Amino acid sequence: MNIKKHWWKLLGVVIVGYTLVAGLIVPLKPGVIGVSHKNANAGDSLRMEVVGYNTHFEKGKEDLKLWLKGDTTFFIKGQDVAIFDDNTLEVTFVIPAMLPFDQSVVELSLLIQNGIDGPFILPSAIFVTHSPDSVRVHTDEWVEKIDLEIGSSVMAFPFRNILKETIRNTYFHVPLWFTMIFILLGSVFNAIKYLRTGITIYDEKSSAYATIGLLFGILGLLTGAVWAKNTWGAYWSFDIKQNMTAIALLIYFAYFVLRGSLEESAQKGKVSAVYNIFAFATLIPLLYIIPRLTDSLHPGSGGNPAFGGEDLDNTMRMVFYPAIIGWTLLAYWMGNLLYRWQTVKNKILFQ
Amino acid sequence: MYKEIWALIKKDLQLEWRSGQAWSSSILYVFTTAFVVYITFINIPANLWNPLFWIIILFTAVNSVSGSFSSENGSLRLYYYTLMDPVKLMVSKTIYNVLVVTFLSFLCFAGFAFITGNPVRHLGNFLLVLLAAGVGLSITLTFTAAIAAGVKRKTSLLTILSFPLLIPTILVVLKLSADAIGLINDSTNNQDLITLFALDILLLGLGILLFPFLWKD
Repeated sequence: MNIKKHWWKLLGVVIVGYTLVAGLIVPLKPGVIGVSHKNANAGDSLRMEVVGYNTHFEKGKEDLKLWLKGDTTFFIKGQDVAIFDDNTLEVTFVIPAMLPFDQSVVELSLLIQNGIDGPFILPSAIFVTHSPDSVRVHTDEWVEKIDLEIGSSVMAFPFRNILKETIRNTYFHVPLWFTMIFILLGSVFNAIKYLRTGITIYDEKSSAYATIGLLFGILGLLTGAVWAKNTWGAYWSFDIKQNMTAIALLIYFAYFVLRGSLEESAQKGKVSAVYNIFAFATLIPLLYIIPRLTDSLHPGSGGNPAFGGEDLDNTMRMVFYPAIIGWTLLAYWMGNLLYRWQTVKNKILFQ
Repeated sequence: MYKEIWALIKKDLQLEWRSGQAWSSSILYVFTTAFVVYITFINIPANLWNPLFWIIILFTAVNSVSGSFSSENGSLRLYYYTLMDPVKLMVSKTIYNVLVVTFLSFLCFAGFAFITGNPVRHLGNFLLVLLAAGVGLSITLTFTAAIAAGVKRKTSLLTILSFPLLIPTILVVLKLSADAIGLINDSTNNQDLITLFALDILLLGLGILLFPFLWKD
């Protein structure tokens, strides 16, 4: 065995191993899970409990500061901070009777900063009701000069509300889909080659890759369903992408039914190659065009690219892109193994 | 080229016309299905009318297209093969099926509206949607019928193969017809129509490109 020819298999295993370890072990950045109050009125003095995640309230208490933030110039500073442990504290915010905003309900975010964690924010932490008809004076009273420090630069994944730890599924769910598309592309490529040349090898390869593609599709669906249960509340929520995916899988199941119902090998190869190409061509609008025309719970609906700058930060990219490459290499390897196993089986059968 | 295609379409039409049996069974199929649906639902509100109508159309289309390659089997197929270009055969079959499916869906609309009442507000738009749907369904179904032609238990295989492929078309059509009925007020109609036609053209192109491979075996 010439090891130089098989380096990519090793690479695939190493990369997938790396993404498993890094994807599961690297901690999340500090964030706020919740606060005890969701609503308040202007003029209230609010004693609020703050629950953090991966935070260091106790360790970084010397320079711990809290604000309620309206826009870039409106800040209310937190007073009388009582720290219970690294993840819980109580703080008082004195909300002024007049707020410099036009809306009657003002959305304020909670901004926390200390030397260890750096700044982090809970968007829309509290809704303050006030009467905007009173004279709005935009005075310097609200302006607090705050300078945000950079926290200690440990490698960490971003903390997002709702997602929390499930953000790690980005390294499994999404790359599995990418891999499915790549391996199905390989299957179609071989189907085209078979139609052009008529050599049986290509048909067998095409079918093996389609099997592996279907396997990865099912895995992508399952990881997505688990993720959906934790974030959207149900395994299946009539999301357009979920439905289209189910249809795409049905199309490929039909491919195998078609193969099963044809007996003569040349006809089987030809017909299934034709259907394979046709199926892949409809798969693209199913997965990538139609979901963008309607609303979806998935990111990337409404014509946006699936990954904006908001969804994937640099730390995540360091795991996400290798994961795609690693899984694709593994899938290719699996496809080739399946193809070889089937060839050997046919040889024994027809001896 | 057009002459040959037209001759093929005419041949199919004449065959159907002479036998008579296929026409009458298709028409009866439409009315029976529509009536069974009416009997089971009795009062059909507009938001239910729309999907029910399209499900009837879907089954009617599958039923009428499933036999389109069965006449060319065995020695006749070989005779055709020596005689003509597969692309022309494919195009003629597609056009023929478009005619049949569109005719049947207009008939289905008339029958279903007659029994259950007509909820459609913008009739012109609705007929346009019927036409677009006829084209879309026929293209995919003709191609899948060609794939399933050589297989035993053809009809069930045709259903398995074509239904998932038809869902994009059906979804767009459902939305467009909901708009024509007045259930929703959608301003992106043109965009949907363009999507539908782009999908149709993609499928037709693929069908024409791939059919010669199916034909020569």
